[in-house]
Amino acid sequence: MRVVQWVVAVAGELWFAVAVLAAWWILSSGSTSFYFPPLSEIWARFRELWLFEQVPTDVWPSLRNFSPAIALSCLIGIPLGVLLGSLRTLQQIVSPVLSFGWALPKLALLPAFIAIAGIGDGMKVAFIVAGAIWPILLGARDGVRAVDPALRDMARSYRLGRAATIFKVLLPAAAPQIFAGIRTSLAIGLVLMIVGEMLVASSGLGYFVLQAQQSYALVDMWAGALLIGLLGYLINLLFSTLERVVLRWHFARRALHAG
Amino acid sequence: MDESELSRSGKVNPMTNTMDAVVSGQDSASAEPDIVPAADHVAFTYHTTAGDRPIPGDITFEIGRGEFVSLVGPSGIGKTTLLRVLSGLMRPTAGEVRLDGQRVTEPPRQLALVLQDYSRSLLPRYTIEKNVALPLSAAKVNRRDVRERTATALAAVGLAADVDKYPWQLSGGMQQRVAIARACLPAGDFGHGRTVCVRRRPDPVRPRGPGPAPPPRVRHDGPAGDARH
Repeated sequence: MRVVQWVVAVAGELWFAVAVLAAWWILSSGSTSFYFPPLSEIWARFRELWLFEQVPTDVWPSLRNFSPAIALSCLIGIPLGVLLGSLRTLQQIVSPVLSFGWALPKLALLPAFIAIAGIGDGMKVAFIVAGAIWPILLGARDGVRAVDPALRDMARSYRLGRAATIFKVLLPAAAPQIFAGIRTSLAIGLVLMIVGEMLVASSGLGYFVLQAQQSYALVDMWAGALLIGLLGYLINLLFSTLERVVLRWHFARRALHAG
Repeated sequence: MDESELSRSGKVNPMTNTMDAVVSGQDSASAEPDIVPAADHVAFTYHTTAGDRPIPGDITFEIGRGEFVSLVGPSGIGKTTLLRVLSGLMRPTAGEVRLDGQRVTEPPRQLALVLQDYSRSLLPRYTIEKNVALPLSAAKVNRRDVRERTATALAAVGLAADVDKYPWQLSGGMQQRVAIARACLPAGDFGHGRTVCVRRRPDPVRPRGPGPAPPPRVRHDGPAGDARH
């Protein structure tokens, strides 16, 4: 029974995507355009490249920069956000700087990053962090600021202490917003990863796609773009699953109140 | 206080529909000192952008052992504010709050607070058992004691069967009983009658034995509510 439900759910989620792919496949099948090769050709190339010959040379370098950058963004962004959310004066002082940092297009910083940190992996990680940290930091800050005053009173009147207040009261209450921040950070991080690789790298997916385009291997280029899209989708899917597990209480409660 | 009144009585009115309460209990370690909450010319003023808004000020009283005090007044008069000041959650803008002669600046250890927003003061991520156990765990009580005392407290408020449920799965009244169980737990133990509990009409909780100083209460149903009971 559960299997049937699961199949129905997955089908409900994917039927449109499948329809789009089918339309693309059929409409492009007779294409002789150099720029828009048939999907069947792209797919054939996709399998050659990504299952799994080029994975160590192009996919792995990308993920090797992306994953630690996101982890680092969480490790710095969450504590900083909690701190800012707890100390109103501090938050008022630094808030203009935060807004500026958040609004500044991170691409504008890439030349500075290259000048300071060179073109190694360390620079690419730092560059992704510089862009991905903001939504996490701001999510944690806003989440902590929005914690119900009744919960704060409770923590104080029972003398829970700083550690218990942070880990048992503030962080869980702010968790939904922190997770929303991480979700945005994943998207931003992916963009910065690709751009960084396009401009300064000799490996990675961004490098591969640009290189393919510049050597007129447009089928390769499309295959690379397809993989990047799928990667983003899979990362999101993975993260949603994690979110559903960690915030189970949150979703259960919300479902109850909605129903 | 001009419009609110502080009424005292020697016994607990079982029919009171209490919303907020300060429960002072005795720490089982301390031998026999009376817990005497006192207010000395206490006043509190909210400074808002719309101007200063004082609650009726210059409040002075002392509550002795075994006394039960209700605080009655129309809404907006500052009953909850006064309770927050008395419990140490807010500093009075004038005067002094004392407990056993000690000036209150932070919520004191011997005090338990059941806030009006009882349902919002429970942690949605934890089962009610963990919610009730939280203050004890934070006070570094050993784990076996925590479990035992939590179970007793939840049984005393009639929630023994619901220990594994989450607050948001319970009705408002049940959530209030969870908050009460949590408030009563650190102060004393249910089995030997050192605890004062707050009662609510539909599902009375019985304090056992002669408790220490009963709680001053804020009643949100006002004097009219008195006539009903």
